[in-house]
This record gives sequence, C-alpha cells and structure tokens, in this order.
Amino acid sequence: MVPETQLRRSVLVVGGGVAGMHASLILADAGVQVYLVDSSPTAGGLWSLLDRTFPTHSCGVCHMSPRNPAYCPVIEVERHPRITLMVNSSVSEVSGDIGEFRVRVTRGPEFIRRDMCDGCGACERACPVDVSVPSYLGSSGHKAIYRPGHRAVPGGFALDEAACTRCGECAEACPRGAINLQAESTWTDLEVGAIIASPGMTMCDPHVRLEYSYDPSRNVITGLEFERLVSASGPTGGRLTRPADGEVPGSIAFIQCVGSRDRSAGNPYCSSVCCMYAIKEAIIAKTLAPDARVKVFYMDLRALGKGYDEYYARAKSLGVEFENCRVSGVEGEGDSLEVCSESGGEARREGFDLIVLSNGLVPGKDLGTLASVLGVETDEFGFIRPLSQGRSRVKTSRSGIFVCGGAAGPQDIPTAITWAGACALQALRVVGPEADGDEWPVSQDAAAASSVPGRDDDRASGLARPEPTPGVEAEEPRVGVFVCRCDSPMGGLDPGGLASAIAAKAMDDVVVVREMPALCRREGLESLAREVAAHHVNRVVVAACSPRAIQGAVEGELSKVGVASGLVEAANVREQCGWVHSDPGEAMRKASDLVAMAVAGVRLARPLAEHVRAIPAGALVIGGGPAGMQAAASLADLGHDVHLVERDDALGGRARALARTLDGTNVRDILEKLEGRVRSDTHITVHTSSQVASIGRKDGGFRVSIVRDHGTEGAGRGPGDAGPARGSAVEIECGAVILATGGVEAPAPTPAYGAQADGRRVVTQTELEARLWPSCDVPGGVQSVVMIQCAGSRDEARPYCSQVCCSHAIKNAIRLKAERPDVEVYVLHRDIRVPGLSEVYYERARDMGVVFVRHPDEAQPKVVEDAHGSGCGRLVVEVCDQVLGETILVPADLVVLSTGAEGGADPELARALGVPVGDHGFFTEANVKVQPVDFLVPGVYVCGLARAPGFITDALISAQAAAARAGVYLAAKEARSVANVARVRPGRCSGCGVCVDVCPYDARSIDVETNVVVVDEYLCRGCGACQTACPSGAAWHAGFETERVMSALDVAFG
Amino acid sequence: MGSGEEFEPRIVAFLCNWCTYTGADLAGVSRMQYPPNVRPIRVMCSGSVDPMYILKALLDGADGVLVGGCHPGDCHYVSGNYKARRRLAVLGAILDEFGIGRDRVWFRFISASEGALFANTVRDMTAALKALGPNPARALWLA
Repeated sequence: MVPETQLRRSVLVVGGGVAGMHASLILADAGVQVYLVDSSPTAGGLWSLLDRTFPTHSCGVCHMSPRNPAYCPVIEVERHPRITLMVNSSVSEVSGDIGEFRVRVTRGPEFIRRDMCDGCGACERACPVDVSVPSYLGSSGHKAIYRPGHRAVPGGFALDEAACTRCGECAEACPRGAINLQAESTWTDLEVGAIIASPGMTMCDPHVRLEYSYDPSRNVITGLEFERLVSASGPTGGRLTRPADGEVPGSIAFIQCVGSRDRSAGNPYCSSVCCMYAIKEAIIAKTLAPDARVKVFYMDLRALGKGYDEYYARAKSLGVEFENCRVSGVEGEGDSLEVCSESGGEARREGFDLIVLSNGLVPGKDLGTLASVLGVETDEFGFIRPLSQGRSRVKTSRSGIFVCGGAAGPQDIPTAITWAGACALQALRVVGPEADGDEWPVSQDAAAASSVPGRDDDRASGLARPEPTPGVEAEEPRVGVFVCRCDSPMGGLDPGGLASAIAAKAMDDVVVVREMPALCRREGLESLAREVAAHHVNRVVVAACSPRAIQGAVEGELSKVGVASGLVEAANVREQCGWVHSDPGEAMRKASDLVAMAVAGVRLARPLAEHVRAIPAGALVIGGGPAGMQAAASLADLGHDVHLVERDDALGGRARALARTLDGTNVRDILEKLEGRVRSDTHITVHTSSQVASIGRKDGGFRVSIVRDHGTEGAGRGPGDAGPARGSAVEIECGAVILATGGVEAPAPTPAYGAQADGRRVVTQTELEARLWPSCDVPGGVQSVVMIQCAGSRDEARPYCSQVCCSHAIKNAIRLKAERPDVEVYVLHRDIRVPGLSEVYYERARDMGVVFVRHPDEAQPKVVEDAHGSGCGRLVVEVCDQVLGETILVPADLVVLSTGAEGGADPELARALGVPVGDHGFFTEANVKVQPVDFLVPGVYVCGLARAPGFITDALISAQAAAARAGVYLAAKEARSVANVARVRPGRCSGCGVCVDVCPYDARSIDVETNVVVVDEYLCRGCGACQTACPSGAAWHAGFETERVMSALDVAFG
Repeated sequence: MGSGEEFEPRIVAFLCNWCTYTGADLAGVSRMQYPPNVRPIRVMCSGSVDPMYILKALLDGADGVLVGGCHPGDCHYVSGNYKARRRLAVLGAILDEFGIGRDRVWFRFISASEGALFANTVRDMTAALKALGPNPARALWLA
C-alpha cells in the first residue's frame, strides 16, 4: 500500500520517449513521484534512433531537462530519485478516478536481473544463437542475449525471447548468477493521482506502396534506416555507404509521403515530420558525400516550424535538388535504380544509386490496447482523441488522463515537448501544486558536486551560505585514498593491488590508503566515513567508478564527518580504466596515474560554496491574448498570484479578429471562457490599457513598474481588473515572468501583386473572415474569389513560413463554399502547409470544389484590372500554373491576400530581462528544439506568437507549458547557484572585460566603481570559459582551478 | 625508450563533463577495449580547456592531446565547443612554429551516446601518434 502522501503526489507516465521523459523530469523536479513505464527494454523511444534532429542539426536532447546543464535525458530519468523507470513493462489495468487511480503495471519476465547484472558481457560471448536483424537498422545482427540500443538505459542486457533456445549457456556463464531463463512476468500495483499517456508513434510499413520496391538489399531504404546509416554509432560508424555493396552512393533520392497523405495506401493525414527529416538527411548526405547528387521528390514541402524554412533554404544552398511531383514507382536493380515520376504531364525516369523512402508515422501497434486499458477514446486513425479541440487538447475523454507526443497525432519534437509541458501542468493541477518539502534531488549535479550539508539553514535568507568547514584551506592537507572493492569486477584492474601500489608510491600528503567495501552501498559509505574520521583526513580521493555515479553519494556521507563538498575527487578507475583495458599490468599503470592525478588535484581543492536566495512569490504575465490569459489561468491553478498586463483596453489580443479555427472551434467561445476565468480568479490581477514601464532584476526576482497609460478610464475594466488609475504606476515584485506579447499581422506587399488591399476588391484573409462569421456577408455579385498565399511570407523580407495562412485560407474557402456554393474559389499557392491531421480539411476543400493552383516559388501571381470584362471593375489574377507549365488568367471579384505574422517583441523589454530577440521580432528561446518556452536566464518564459507563428490552440498549449515551468520554479521558493561557480580574485582583475564577453549567461559585469568584474552566482552555470579567457589569472573556476589541472598534468604519466 | 621496445605514445585527454566524458564512461559500460595510452581529465566544458594546459602537457612530454566536446549545437554551455574549436585552430599554428606540429592535438565532437566513437578515436589517435613518432619536445627540452 502506498502511503497517503505519496498517493496524492504521484503520476504515471506511459511511454519513455521524448515527451514522456520531459513530462517526467518536470514533475519529478516539482516533488512528484513519477512512475515511467516503457514497453521496450530501454527508455528513449523513437528519438534514440536518430543521429541528429532538425533544424538545430544536432542531437541536443540533453537540453530538455528542466535543469540545465544536465545529462542526456535517458540518464537523467534513470538517476532521478523521484522517477521509477519501469522498462519492459505495460499498463494492464486502470481503475478508480482522477486523483486516485489504481494501476496495475505488468512487467515482462526479468530474465536478467538488473540489480545484479554489471554488464560484463560473459553471457553474450557464451550465447550460441545469432539473430539476424530483419531490417537494416541493427547492422550485422546480435546474439539472443544482447545489449540493446546504443543509448541503452538502463544499461545491461536484454533477451530476444523469440530467438532464445533456452539452452542455458548464458546463465552458466554469468559470474553473478543474474540470469534466470525461467523468469515469469510480474506485476506491480500503483496508486497515482494522474496519468500521462505518451507512448509515441512508429514508422509505417514502407511496403505500403509496393511500387516503391522497398528492399535494403537492393539499396531502397527508409528514412530511419538512413539515419542509422549515417550515425556515428550506427552500423557503418557514420560512413555513408550503400547497404547492398558498401559503395559510396553517387546519387541519392528521397521520396516523400510514403504512407502519408494517401488514402489508398496508408493514411490520409500528413505525418508532419517527413519533409523535415528528409531535408536533414539530404543535408547530412551532402556533408558526407559532397559530390553526390541529392534530390528530394515531394508533394508539398511542409517546413512548418520555427527555423524550418531557413533549414530548407540551407539544403538548397548546399545543392540539394527539390522537385514537386508524385513519384509513381521505383524500378530496376542494384546499380540501375530508377525513380519514375510525372511532372508537367510528362513521364520521367531518373537513375539513382540509393533511394530513401520517407515513410510516415502511424499509431504504435499497442496504442489501441493502451487506450482501452486507460479507458480513453481514439479517433478514426487510432490516435487518442482530445476531449475538445479548444483550450486543452492534452485532456482526453477520461478526466485525469492526459496525452502528449505521437499518441495524439503526428508531432515533431518541439511540439511533443510543448505538449509534455502542458501535460505536466495538468498533472500538477491534479496532484496539487505544493512542493512536499523534501530536498531537491542532489543527484542532478552530483558530478558537479553540488550537495552541501545543512541546506535547511537560513533557507530564504537571501544570503550566501557561509563556506562550509571554514579554515580547511589553512590546514595541512591530509589526503585519504580509498579504493573501492567494486561489486562488479573491474575488468583488468585488481583493486587490492591498486591500493598496495598507491601505498607504495608514498605520495605527498597522503596519510592513509585503504581498500574499501563497495562504496555505493551503505556499509561501504559508513566505513569510509569512519576511516576518514579516524585518520583526520580532510581531503579524499575515491578510486572507483565514474564520478557521475559515486561522487554525490560520497560527498553526502562525508559531509557528516566534516569533509566539505569539493574536497572529494573521484578517480574513474572502472569505466575509464579497468573495464576498457583487459591487460592487468596496463590497467594498473593507468589506474595508478589516475589516482596520482586525483591526489594532485585534491591537495589544492577548496570547499565549494553553494548560494541560495529566495525567489519572491507571484508572476507577471505580459500580454492578454489567448496565450497570456491561459498562462495566467494555469499559474493561478497552481496557486500562484499573477499580474496580467495587457496594452489594449480589452483582453483577447489578435485572436479577437478570428471567428473559427480550421476544425470549426469557435474562437470567441475560447476567449470568453478565458476572460471569464482570469477576471474572476482571485489569484489574478488584470491590468488592461497598461504597459510594463520598467522591469529589472532585484534579488531573486523582478521589480516591475506597471503604468496604466492610455485608453478610456474604466473602459474594458472588468471585475478582476484592479489596475491603477490612468497615468499612474503600480510597483510590484514577482519571481517569474511569462512573455506572451504576441505579434502583428504582416503588411501585404501590395506592389508585388499590382493591387492595393482596399478592403473592397482586395482584402486580407482576416478581413474576409470577418465577413464570413457569424453570418456570411459576401455580396451576390461576387462569383469568383481568388486567394493568394504567402502574401508577405517566405520572401526576402520574411524568409519564414507564417504557418497559419494555409489553414486560414482553407477554413475560409470551406466556409465560403458551404454558404455560397455558386462562388468559385481559387487558392494560388506554393506549398500547401497544413499540419498533421488537418490534412483532412485540405481534402475536404478540394472535394467541395475549391481550386488549388500551384505556382513556382519565384513566380508571384499578379493582380490586374480586367480589360475585357464587363467594366464593373473586375480584377484578373495572372498566375503561372506549375502543373500546366503556363500562365493562366483567373477572374476575381474578390482577391484575398493571406498575409503572415510578424513578431512583436519589445527590444527594450528583452534587454531589461536579458533575453534575446531574433530576426523578425520573435523572442529567441533557449533551444528551438527542446526548450521552446525557456530562456537561458532563469525565471523568464515565453509562449504563443511571441515565440513563433502558430495556431491559437498551439499557443494555449505552449502557455500551459510555460506556466508549468514558471509554476515549478516559483514553488521551489528559492534559487540555488551551481556549486562550481566561476569567481574573481579582485586583486588580479584589471577590468579588461574579456570574461564578460565570453560568458554565455551574462553572469559577469564590471563594477563601475572598482573597475573589477563581479559575478552573479545565480546566473553563472560554471562552464569555466572565463577562467580560460582571463589573461591575468583573476577568474577562477571552482573545482576546476588552473593550478589543479596543471598539478594533475605533472603526474599524468608516472 | 629502449631500442627494442615499441614506442607507446602518451595522450592527455580533456573531456567535457556532459558529452565526451559520459561517452567515455559508456565505452566502459559497454566494455569496449582501447589502448591504455590515454589519461583523461574531466573538465566541465571543452571551452574551458586553456591552451596553456595543452602546451604544458606537450612540453612535459605528452605525445598528443585530445580535446573532446559536445557536437556543434549541443554544447551544454551554449558555445563552449565553438570557443574550443577556435582556440585550437590558433594553437595549431603555434604548435607548427614550435616544431611540435598541430597533428598532435586532436579536437573531436563525441556525444554521451558515442562510446564506440570515443574508443575508436583513442585507437586511431594512438596509431597516428605511433606513426608520427615521439613528441620532438621530448628530445629538445627533456633529458
């Protein structure tokens, strides 16, 4: 039985891919016990097969952890004390209700006991069964007992049950008796307050279109196989070669929409990620084989995300070719593969050496089962259906169960991460916002040595803690060296021999050398503490496993006997010595050097001082559009007081100009509900007609001056509107800021089309929308409506996609056709970009008779007066039809320009907060891929249009994600510096400012009075760049001081 | 070095905490074997590797220095790996001038998941340094 408190504060997360890991890490940091269940032998999901991600062109997933810097999330979820990772497991029963679900988790047979396996590999060597891998993914195959995945977490081995003959050789070979081939399934019952479903998606079968001749042995592979092929940890070690013959391909074709946007073979929806992964792979191909011809055959190039169009442009600049067509088939063998396509009415065949099928995403095969166990509804495609299309799409049909990632429909990583943040918010609402008062996980920064004794003292004092054990620097160093007699044999290294060798070396200041029982166990740690106390040791070297695994635990224990954090150094003689060098003599020589280096360093070590200061309560949300209102409401849900500042005299922002979303959701309903919510919530103070006149950091938070500066007195003031009188200012303090400042509609580039948006014959899409709802008000004389897409987007001035315009046009076209079937509607476009499941509306528009005319990127349509018309002022649009290959004239009673979006970030606000603004007025988040709502500076978050163009519903999700981050940050009530802050020796500082320039966190500044650099310990993250840059030895990096490194180098080779 | 003994190069490796050091740990967890010629030093970021460390190692008799950092775009401190790359490019020119040669200092991007790449890199570097022969600084400045 789970204790009552734990019950209330625990969440089940089903699926350990990117979304599940992110939600788990946020919740665990908020003090919630998380059970993370994954059906595969390791966490990581589909992402773990990827070499890198778009558009950052790196992996970068390590940045997803709510605390930065952090290790790879698969490591973080495994080591987090409040996350229980349950792999090889599935949810088999769910009963109860929100707040008190009872869940049964069934775990597949544990043939290899993880707590006993040390990964030595004896079983693998003994196994006589070779498994050939059906796809090209797994290189040359593996044994029936094998180490799964290169990012495998938890570590250790897995059994291929189907291949295993149960011969028992492995069990016999295992030196630790960890293998039981008769093991059976077990189950665990959990009680949780909320459930997050994030089981992800899988790639569809590339055979869905047989004419594409998928067959790796004939050099036709999938995108994911290509990804493995070019990965440094893949089958070829990152060399781009053809699977069939190992030759470097001279030409590579990517075929898009394999199993996507295709009702007859696969799925009608767009898989949302394939265009971008093909672009990424094309860029990688060009990098690895610069002379290769690389071509992408696509239907619509959907670069729907921040920075995606720029990435597309990068591919083109590298020489990747793109052709718009539907490929009809792949023919030929080996060296003579041909892509058959049709373009401009002409059949064509082109030869390629390697063909990559960009196959789409489908719901995982077990998603249906999971959905029925969870009791949540699915949609026609098998994805988990949202409760509503409006405010909270992360909610499912069952209260208390939330969905994120691919189970909700095709999502790229930034979308999945944002949804995961929103799920975390919803789960926190259920399990309660209050932190339960236990310590923040010390393991987070174990390697960076952050555990400090007595952290309950002067909590919230706002003062730096006194240095622990003052005076140790003045003491004579008394170093103890303790060699761990590891529970897992250290390969080539004999710990006892190492201890004797160290003792024989008689190094300076070493007063005791001991071989110890395993230091990762209680007994080992306690006897270590006893030895340290008995010999009055004040500096400690442990020769053991990786410091990542052991240093935190050792420091925690030794702090009890007065050895401060920072005075312990771990010599990694296991992972980086014994396990990789089987020759005992060589391993011993190196281990002995590693210990000597650690001793040399620790003799000069200083105690690490950690600083803690209070974070003021409450948050400021700037911007009263849907994102801002949602962020305020969500923060209030978590119990935080919020000031919501809106420049306009009414709430709602630009969304007030909209009537419906593409799926028919009434935008006004959303806005009314949100406004009612924020105005009635006692936690929220609404300031309309107000602006942030000044904002600055003060102690652990922000000091803000809000001025009510314009608008009519009283106008738009609702019951919750307690702002100051006109012209007067109110001063507040808060701990966190959410930027929801939105953007503006980009002006239409009228000269390019030869017509002025006059609100009569030429209107914007938003103006048309106002005529279509609530009632259709299009004059009877209007018989032909021509919509021009990308009016002011994807051009030189705005080289990005505004994301919403295609959907906007399709929505209005459908409405127009429904209300006025007699009207001809033309959409002149480049690529039609609608995301994921919205593809069905594009289909519907075509079915209703809307005519889509594709024109080449560079050939803009032109609007002219109709010279031959009836003389009633009709217009004609000249457009080059890409399919026909000729210019056609389309008569237009009404021309509709689909204008884009521009950011509205206030540069002064950005400067005051220390957050960057990119081109085109959008705020630049910390990491476009995995930190979409964060900045590098703590306590400031962004959501909605302020970050990037997007739909209202996406803005609401990102607002919840931002509120989750801000809410957890505020609930901690205090900010903690990293342990290894880089400091300044004032006497040596000349005030040159070089370190100020190299600091990536603006943690350093020059004090104008003393001309000496000062450090904000809470902004410094301890990278040490300043120490290296400083020409006068003034900057010093705690724990990694120059003199320590230099001393270690002195003894590196015996 | 004895006449019949094969030359065993000495390599100092500065490994960033988040990526390459963790990747080297993964090589260990996976029991990938590589030459014992390398002495790893953990730093928080490749951008904190002072060229002075590298010069000291080489002048003290190391035959090569490996600096391992996160892949471009993956630096846990925004841009430390780029800082390292720039510094090492400049340092290379100096090493050429010294007669030590830039080939003795390798900068590699190795992620936490690339244990095999770390092991291969040490293997390749050991072989390359064997081919290059001992650091001439040994003969010039060290008895």
